[in-house]
Amino acid sequence: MSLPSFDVQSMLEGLRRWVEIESPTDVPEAVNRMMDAAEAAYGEAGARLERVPGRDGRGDHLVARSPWGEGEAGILILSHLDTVHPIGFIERLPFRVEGDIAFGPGICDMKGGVYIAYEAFRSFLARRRSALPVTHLIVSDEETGSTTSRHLIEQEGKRAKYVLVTEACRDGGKVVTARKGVGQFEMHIRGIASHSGSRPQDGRSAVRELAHQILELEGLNDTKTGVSVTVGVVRGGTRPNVIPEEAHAEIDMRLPTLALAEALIPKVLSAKAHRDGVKVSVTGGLNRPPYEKTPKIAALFAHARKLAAEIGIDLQDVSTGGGSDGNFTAPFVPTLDGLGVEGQGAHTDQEQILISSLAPRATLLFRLLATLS
Amino acid sequence: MLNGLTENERQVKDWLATQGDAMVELLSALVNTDSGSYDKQGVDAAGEVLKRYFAAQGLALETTPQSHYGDQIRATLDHPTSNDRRPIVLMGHRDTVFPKGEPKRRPFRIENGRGYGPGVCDMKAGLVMNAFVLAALKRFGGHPGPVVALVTSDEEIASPSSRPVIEAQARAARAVFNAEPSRVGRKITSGRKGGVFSRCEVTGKAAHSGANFKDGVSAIEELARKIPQFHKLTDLARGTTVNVGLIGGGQTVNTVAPSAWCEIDLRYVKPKDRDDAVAAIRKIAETCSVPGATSSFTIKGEFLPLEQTAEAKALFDLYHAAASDAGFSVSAEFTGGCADSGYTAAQGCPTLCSIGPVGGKAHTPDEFLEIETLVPCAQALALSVMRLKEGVLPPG
Repeated sequence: MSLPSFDVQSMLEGLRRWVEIESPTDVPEAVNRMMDAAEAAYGEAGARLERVPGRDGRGDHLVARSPWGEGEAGILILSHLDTVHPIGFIERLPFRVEGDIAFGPGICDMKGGVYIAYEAFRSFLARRRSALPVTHLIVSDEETGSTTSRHLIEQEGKRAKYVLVTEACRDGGKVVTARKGVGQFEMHIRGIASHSGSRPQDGRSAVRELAHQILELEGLNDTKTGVSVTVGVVRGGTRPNVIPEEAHAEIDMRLPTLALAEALIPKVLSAKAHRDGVKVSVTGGLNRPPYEKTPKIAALFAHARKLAAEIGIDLQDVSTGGGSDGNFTAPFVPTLDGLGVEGQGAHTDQEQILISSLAPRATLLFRLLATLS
Repeated sequence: MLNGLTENERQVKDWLATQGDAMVELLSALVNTDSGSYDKQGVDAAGEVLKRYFAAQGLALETTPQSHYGDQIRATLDHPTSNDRRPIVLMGHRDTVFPKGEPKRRPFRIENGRGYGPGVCDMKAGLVMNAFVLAALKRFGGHPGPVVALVTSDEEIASPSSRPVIEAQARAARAVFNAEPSRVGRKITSGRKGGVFSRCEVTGKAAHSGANFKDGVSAIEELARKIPQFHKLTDLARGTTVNVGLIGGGQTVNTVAPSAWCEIDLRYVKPKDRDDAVAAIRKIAETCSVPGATSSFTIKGEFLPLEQTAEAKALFDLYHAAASDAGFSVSAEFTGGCADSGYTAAQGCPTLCSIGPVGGKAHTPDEFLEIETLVPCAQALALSVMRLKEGVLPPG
């Protein structure tokens, strides 16, 4: 087994440059600056590049392909370079190193993972070929549901034999072999407005109805099946002294299996008002299908576990509630997720990675590229 | 006496009858002066429009400066020889609910006998009426004691800066006439509910809705549990209502909500119902049932109820007769809407509310004023003031 030597200091320096290019999903020109950097890096490394122009307020997607194996089914590395942190967040969370920890916006979710995948792929581009052709797809909108990249992900996924997703690993290095499906919904309620002082009896409060709806949605939470419901955002009403005519909620649902999704989603979509004169309407549906651990996915994990053991890692797998782009490919192609770096605090002002995970994780990716056939 | 009016009353009534155009002119200037409650500069500019009118009439002016909201203004017509030195107060507010720039978008205009523009009936027309009544009495006399026109600055946001001024004035006053608009059909107010406006803020704990769902504490769930409890306090038979009028909360769809809030509007009829209702709201607001959620409660503003007392009834009878002499007939009805008149009534001062010129659709772009009611309403008010002699009201 010949392994490239991943230089931690130079990887950290490269990652720092990427972290310092802020790239919130909803600022496409910022995401494109990030894509420029990734494109330049892969250009230098000798990959065949395609840039898919952004649309609907999102940035471009980047595809880097190996020059070998064109047209053959290969390995798809799936990544995203958008982050949840707004522009300027870097002031609050500058890139910094404290011992074995490096901080920065998006460093864990998932610039660290993209960077080590680039390093692993680059070492093939530089001096050898892998058995299978490799495609690294880097999308610009994962954090908002991959609405402009889903088709591209599915298209590349269908061409692939394996999909490796570079989301951060979990709980001390575990890779992900199952993810819950994600349902997202918007609920609009229309009641009847009225002055709360002079004509309270004429009104029908949309806020009151929304409260009942929220309590019913919360009632769908089930720790046994793993179904979870989050009403993430609410707003309603115009002035305190007006019976609210309108109220609105944004709902997130996590569904471990397709069967549960098929049973519960219609319930959410058909929510009914509790009082005459009030209308409830719900739109939305399954945004990411459940990613279930199929036998083929179990086999892919077993292979990765063996490779990890060779470099001294006791690799474990886990199922998680968080969705990723792996949900889009897992239903039809063996997909292994959580192959990025080890860290914590994603989406917060404490986002960080373990520097000591950079080289072993890059090596594991390298070995997967080298051995999958 | 001719047709039941004294010579003095006739002079006042006749002079007011000639002032219709001048009233519209002053009203137009006032409506076109932007004066949203939070716009101190604008509210003070509207005050200047009135001050110029009062000064031109030779009335004494006094200003109570305010740092944050508009100043409180008092124009006084003295009566050095009356035994009863307690002034009769003509009250009104000059702030409006509208956002800055509204008069530019919708300047004062008259169409088919109706005046339009921000604050046209609520309550700039009432202020014009008060100003002309004071001017008429200054010109012809006949008032039984000092008369004060009190022009306040912040009623639409529950009178945070004017309340103490209003209350002090009410304690010293013989009676208060509040110039909120009469409703279509010549209806004035026999009583008003009290109102308490409060806010509840809930704090939970943010977590990713997928990966760390179990670590989160949903402030929105806690809020959703509270809302039906607030609404349950409504007792229509008793006249107590609770409305959760505004809510908000959360960060993103896939984050367990770390915070949520609501604004609560309580209305009640009897002063004694106030404390129990507020205590019940506070208890719901401050008690959380979602483990890990915390919350806080604050009262943001308050109006006191205008009760139907014997004195208020006597004041209504006096006004009813005066209106009849001005050529129209009024009736009174109870409303759940709140106003500054609740503060004055609570000080024990006989108070009559909503005797301003007739209008409707207040707080909306369709707000209107029936222009033809400016003069008769001013006449009815002037006659009421002139007849408010000792012994007219039952002892309080």
